[in-house]
Amino acid sequence: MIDSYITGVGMTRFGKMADRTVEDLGREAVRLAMKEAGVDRKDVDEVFCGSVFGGVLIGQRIMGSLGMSGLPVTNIENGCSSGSTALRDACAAIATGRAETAVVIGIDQLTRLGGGALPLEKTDIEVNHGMVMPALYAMRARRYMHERGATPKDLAQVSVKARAAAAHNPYAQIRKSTTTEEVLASRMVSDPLTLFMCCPTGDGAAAVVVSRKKNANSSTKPIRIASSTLQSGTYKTGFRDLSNSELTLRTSRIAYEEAGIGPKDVDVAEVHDAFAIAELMYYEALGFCEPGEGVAMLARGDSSIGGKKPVNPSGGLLCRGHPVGATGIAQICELVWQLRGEAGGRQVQGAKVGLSQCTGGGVSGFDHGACTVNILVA
Amino acid sequence: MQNETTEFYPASKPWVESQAGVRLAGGKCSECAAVCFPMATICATCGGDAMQEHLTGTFGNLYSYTVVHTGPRQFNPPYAVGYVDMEDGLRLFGQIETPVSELSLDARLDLAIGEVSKGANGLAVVSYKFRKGGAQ
Repeated sequence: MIDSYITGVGMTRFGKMADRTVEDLGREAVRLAMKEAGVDRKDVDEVFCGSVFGGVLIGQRIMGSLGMSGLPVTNIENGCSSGSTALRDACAAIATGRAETAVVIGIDQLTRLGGGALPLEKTDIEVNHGMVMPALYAMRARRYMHERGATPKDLAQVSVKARAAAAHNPYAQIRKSTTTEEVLASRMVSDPLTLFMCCPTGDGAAAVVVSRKKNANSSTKPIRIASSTLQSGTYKTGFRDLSNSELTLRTSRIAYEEAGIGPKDVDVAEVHDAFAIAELMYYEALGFCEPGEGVAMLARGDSSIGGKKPVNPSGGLLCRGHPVGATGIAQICELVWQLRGEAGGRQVQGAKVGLSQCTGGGVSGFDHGACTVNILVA
Repeated sequence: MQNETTEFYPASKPWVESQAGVRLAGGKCSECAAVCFPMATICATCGGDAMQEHLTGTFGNLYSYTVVHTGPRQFNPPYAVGYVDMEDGLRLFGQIETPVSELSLDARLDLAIGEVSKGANGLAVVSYKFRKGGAQ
């Protein structure tokens, strides 16, 4: 099987950009990534595009408008894991020799949906009783606090850390620093989750060039994709432990095994902090700390830039934003910048191994629908 | 019963009301004994197709809850929702009538029937929901 390398990355800033077309956002990211990778139209064999709300044939709409058409384009919807599932599919095409070079896009434009909580599947029985994503995470948070002795202040601390990191990220939607008091006092969304504990609604696109070729040129550090793993949530009609992410634990163990590493080898991670509670749970599920020790890890500063295990140096979904399909690829962009030493004021010193984790749900019976874990090695 | 002002969800009204309380009508797999609601033709636990009718109990334990402030208009936010674990192993998601200040995790909640939302046509949508449990 042939290894995949990331030879170019690019993204738009994330934010409210309702005045732009979704195709235009996609074009911006793709052109940046292709330019950095030193590839033009004839070099790209396949395109993979992850999006939830981008509409029919979003990949073709973006690539066609760049004068790239006729080649295989696959559009992928897998909830919040759409972008990173697209990356996995690109790696599979390269691994088998079917493609040498692929462009992978993640994109969504949520401002077109009218604001508020994301629209979920209309026929779902829980949705018909009032389920929205903030409510699901709020119930997780309440159970987590009940079982761990954690408090809303601990949740607020996740947001404070995220804002401090995002101040150094020119692509982030929210960059203003905040305090625990301000986070707790912000508008209640679904208790105990206040507005500043929830990722914002926004738009954006990110793209990477994945290739069997190791780098664009000899002066760029090769970044190898050591694992791109996908799993689905376990459907259950009864009890599920909402305070532990079984799916993330399962997916990450498969990814670690494929990459031949363990949690202790990860230098920097980008995880799916759609809501502040999620980051605490993923420290534990990814094996960055013992079960139950998420709050302690945060409080010690271990997960801050400069700490022992920096998590979300980009500001995460909470601050970089979460245009759903774009997130998985934006996480990869951040890890590539970190591993190349190009992350500026948010650089994790000496980072060689990066992990991204992306997971989403909102369908009854599943704790989360899909989870992807990618491991990049410089 | 359906009239000009209400509709039911699910439309089949999968519940039974009696003096003892409300029970939901779901299914039980005769091959692996897993329960489901609503009734299904295939068992989502074992994949078998020998489902039988099953009535839940009238109450369960509150696993977690939240009060939704930013939610779809038809539910008239703020509204309380939660997961209730029934004795037969089912987990149900539903709205909670009782003020949350009177609730605690793992408390008993009883099934009830009442309005859960306003339909697009202005009709009240009636379904199962939960309220603080009676004497144990």
